Amino acid sequence: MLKAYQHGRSLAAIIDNTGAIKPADLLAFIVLRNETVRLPYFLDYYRKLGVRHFLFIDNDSSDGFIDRVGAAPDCSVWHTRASYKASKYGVHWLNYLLRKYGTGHWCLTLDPDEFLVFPHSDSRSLTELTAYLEQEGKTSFFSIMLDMYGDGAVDDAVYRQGQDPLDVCPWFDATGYYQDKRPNYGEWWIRGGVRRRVFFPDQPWNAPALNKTVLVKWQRYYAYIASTHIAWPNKLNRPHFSDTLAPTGCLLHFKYLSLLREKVEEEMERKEHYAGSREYSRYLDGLNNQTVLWSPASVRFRGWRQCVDLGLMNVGRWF
Amino acid sequence: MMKLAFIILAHNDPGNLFRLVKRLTVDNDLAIVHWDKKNPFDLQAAAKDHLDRPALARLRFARRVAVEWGRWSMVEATLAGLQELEQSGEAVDYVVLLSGADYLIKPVATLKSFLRRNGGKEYIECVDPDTDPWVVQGLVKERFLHHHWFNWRDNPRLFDWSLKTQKKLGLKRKAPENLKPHFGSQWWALTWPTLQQVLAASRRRAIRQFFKTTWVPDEMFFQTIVASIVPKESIVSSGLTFYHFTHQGKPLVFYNDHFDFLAQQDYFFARKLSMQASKLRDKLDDLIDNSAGSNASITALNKHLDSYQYFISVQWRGIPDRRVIGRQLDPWYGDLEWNKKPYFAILSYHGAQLEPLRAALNALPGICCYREIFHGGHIDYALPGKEHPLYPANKPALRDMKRPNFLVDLINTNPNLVSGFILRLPCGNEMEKMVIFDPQATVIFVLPDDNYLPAGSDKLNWHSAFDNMIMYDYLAEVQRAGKKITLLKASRHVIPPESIIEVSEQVRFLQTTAPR
Repeated sequence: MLKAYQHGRSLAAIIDNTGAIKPADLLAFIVLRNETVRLPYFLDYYRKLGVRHFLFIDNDSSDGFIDRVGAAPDCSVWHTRASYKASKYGVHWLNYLLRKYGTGHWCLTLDPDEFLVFPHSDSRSLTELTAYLEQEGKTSFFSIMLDMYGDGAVDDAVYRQGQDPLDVCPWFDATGYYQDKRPNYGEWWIRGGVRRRVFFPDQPWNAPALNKTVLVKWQRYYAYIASTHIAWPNKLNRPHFSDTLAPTGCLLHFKYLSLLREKVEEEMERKEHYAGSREYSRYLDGLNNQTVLWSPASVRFRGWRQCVDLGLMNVGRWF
Repeated sequence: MMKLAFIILAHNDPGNLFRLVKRLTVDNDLAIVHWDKKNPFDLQAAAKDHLDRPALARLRFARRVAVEWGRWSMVEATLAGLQELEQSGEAVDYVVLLSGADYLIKPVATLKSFLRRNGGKEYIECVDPDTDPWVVQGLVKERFLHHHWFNWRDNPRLFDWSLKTQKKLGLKRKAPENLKPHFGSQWWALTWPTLQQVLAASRRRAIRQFFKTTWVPDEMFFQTIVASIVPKESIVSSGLTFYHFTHQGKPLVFYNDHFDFLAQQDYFFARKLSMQASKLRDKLDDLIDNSAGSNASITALNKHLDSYQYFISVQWRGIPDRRVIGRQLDPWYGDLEWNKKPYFAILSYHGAQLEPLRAALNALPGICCYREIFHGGHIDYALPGKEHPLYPANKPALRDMKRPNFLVDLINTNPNLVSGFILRLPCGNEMEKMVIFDPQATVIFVLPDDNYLPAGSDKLNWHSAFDNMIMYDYLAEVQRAGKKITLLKASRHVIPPESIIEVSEQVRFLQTTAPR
């Protein structure tokens, strides 16, 4: 908490529209660096789902991010040149802003390449989901991350601004996920999918976590511990009620676009990512070998019902 | 011509409120809106922009009260609506109480013909707590037997303390005028003459004082008074609004995808619709417009909850045979917990020659028998073209991270194939422990033909069994547990042809009975 405050001081508000936030608004908190090309579709997607205000932490982007967001009345931007790594991969920055602006609101904490799909997300909005969760006495929403990919090499999955990323990367692994409950924060640790299969086949236990609690009704004393994988207090990490099931979601993750190369090459220079950027060095190898992520067992994404059929999403008792 | 008045209690969402008003007033009926005083929004001014002249002429606004859930102010708001109607001097036959989150599911004309046909009945749920348990959980008689000065939502402790203290002191009270308290849902449709009597009653000090300190009087006040002034046989103990409560006791909310569910209900209104369910409202509008001309009528008020109840019973623990993310019985068992696809496993001692058996099984249609997929440094599928694409043979670490999950993925690759594999014991990876007691596994034991198991006896000859101790251990355990297994004897490490035929028959049977 103290760290959040210390690191929070390195954030400088550039565009502050937070005065427009109304008490029941759903907020989104995003840390990004040079991901402007993804923004138009991202904003569209979440505005449609009912997000009322976007709070960006811009880690020194150099791709015209401010100009792109500039005029939008539902966006606020904080800028920092400080180290992503030193702020525990953005967690301290997020905790600072969440505490300051998110308290009492339902808050989504996202990367610009993450798209939340939840039960009935084609006909119901996120605010309807949060109203249901709140009514049933639940203050967080659990989801698992599904890595999406195209059918060719990553470099060939070219994404154009404003495009639905599903047009470029409609495939994902339908099986091969592992769940274990871990004692420290009572979180469900889920690994698997294409990352484990392609980038960590020899040490699958090192594959990155896929459990995400991105939607939380925030309180002053709440905090994220490790990215949005683990939150504190522990009750936020619980996917379900004690006696029955709650709805859970899938977070579609569009990392494996041609944009990855630029990012990976920069990150290898900066060494600002988790575990000595272990993940990123594997990505670079993969990119250089023109690795194809697609496999005959890959499945084309068809919507939330498919995720329920595959046992990757629960509807709970949300009729 | 029958004329109706609708009292609408609303506290937010003016857009949908106007939409409802527009729909309700098409047939020259009255709408009286009570707009919660807590919301500073100027509803009257907004109405002028949103409604056309004829609708505005039929809309009236009740004196505003700050409504607090569970308290007398809720009844006061409703009474304010009735007073407004009284002052307007309009002659109406029925008054229907609605909320701003309700919507029509049948045309007003159908409602009128329904009311006319049933001749002056009162539609209000009226339950006598002595004969009928109305509230499943929570307070019933305590709601009126004691005074309630605190709101449970704001001060749950004070609420409980005050109730407990009064109970301890033995303080009980009686309703005035020999009223017999009745309970029921807040939403009703009553005739105007009856309501005029209710209004008169509400002006009597003793009655007001009594109900002011009851808990949730909106589920009691009208019910009690109506029951006291109207003969029982003219009360239909149900409102005209379809609603349902979740297991948490909260009203079920309807979304854009609930059109079919609402359309089948034999009621005239539905509660409550999500604020954002504008597509649902559109569809209901269409339904009403298209059925207005037809003679579709309702003979009785009926809830159709089959699909809801089925949904809840299934979702309570998750869809059968489907993995639940964020819940599992045993981390070791992994996805096997959810698997309902049968498979077979050949548990064998090390020396047996199993290839002839495997070849015979693989020759059967719809059967594939892998080799020792759980052994060693590579996944020994030994069936070209039938490897699992997510688990390359040269990446055993993917398999070893959680072997049961690998097994489930493998046997479910092709829904039309029944798969099996060979496990040589001892193997050190503990898969046998899972497989032996997995209800989906057909276990085939292959033992050397010797006299470890004397004919006609269940007892092992332990002295000579030592060589294949683990096999016999499991065999004994399985037999103790009463699980059916197939026992093959290999003589000089060769499985006799008649045993191969026996296993083939058994596996083929598995194939024909496998669920698709």
